[in-house]
Amino acid sequence: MFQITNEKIIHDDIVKKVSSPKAGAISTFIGVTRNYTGDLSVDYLFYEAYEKMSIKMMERIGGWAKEKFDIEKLAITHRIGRVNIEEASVVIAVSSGHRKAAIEACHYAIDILKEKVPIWKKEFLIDGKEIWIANRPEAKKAFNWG
Amino acid sequence: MQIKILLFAQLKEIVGSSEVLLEVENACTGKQLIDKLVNNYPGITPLKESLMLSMDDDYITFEDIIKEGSEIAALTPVSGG
Repeated sequence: MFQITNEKIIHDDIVKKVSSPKAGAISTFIGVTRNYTGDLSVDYLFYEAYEKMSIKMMERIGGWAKEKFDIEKLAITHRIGRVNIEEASVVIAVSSGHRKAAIEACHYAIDILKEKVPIWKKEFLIDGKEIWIANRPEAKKAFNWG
Repeated sequence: MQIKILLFAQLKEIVGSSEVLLEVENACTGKQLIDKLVNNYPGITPLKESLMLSMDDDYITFEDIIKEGSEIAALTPVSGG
């Protein structure tokens, strides 16, 4: 249900993972590479993961989501390596008996993933520059290491 | 004791290796480990305040004691999604 892959993500494969006869709804989120960041033109993105911890963190997100929302199944696949413009870097799928829980759990899962899962994104810009990104700039003061 | 620290992304690029070995005192805290890491690899000094540590796949704080034999990683702010 939780996977890091070097391959292109097939959206339908993730949807199938959460299929359930009890589900009246499946909600999905697809994170996609866009061709700009602020005023800069992006050529492509490159993702790197601490794979073992990422899988464990994603499993925890699944557990937390099940505690908070009345859902059946939740699956997350994150891609690593080069991800071109318009290609998916992450797909989340959630099934539930009724739509509200699936939609809300999907939103919750991507928010927590962006905050906690140890995956890093590097932007390769058209002008040849390479920049490592932080999702939460305020996290730059994680701890006072002194 | 000797502690292996896994490095990823920007840290890995700056240090030029995906792991480093540090000799630290027993009952070393997260803060002491970060201090030692930055001391040994001054190139990461600008990132020091943003660094996080994980021990056996959980984030830890600067007060936590590093356990010998556990899997330690130094992490910059994440940017998945």
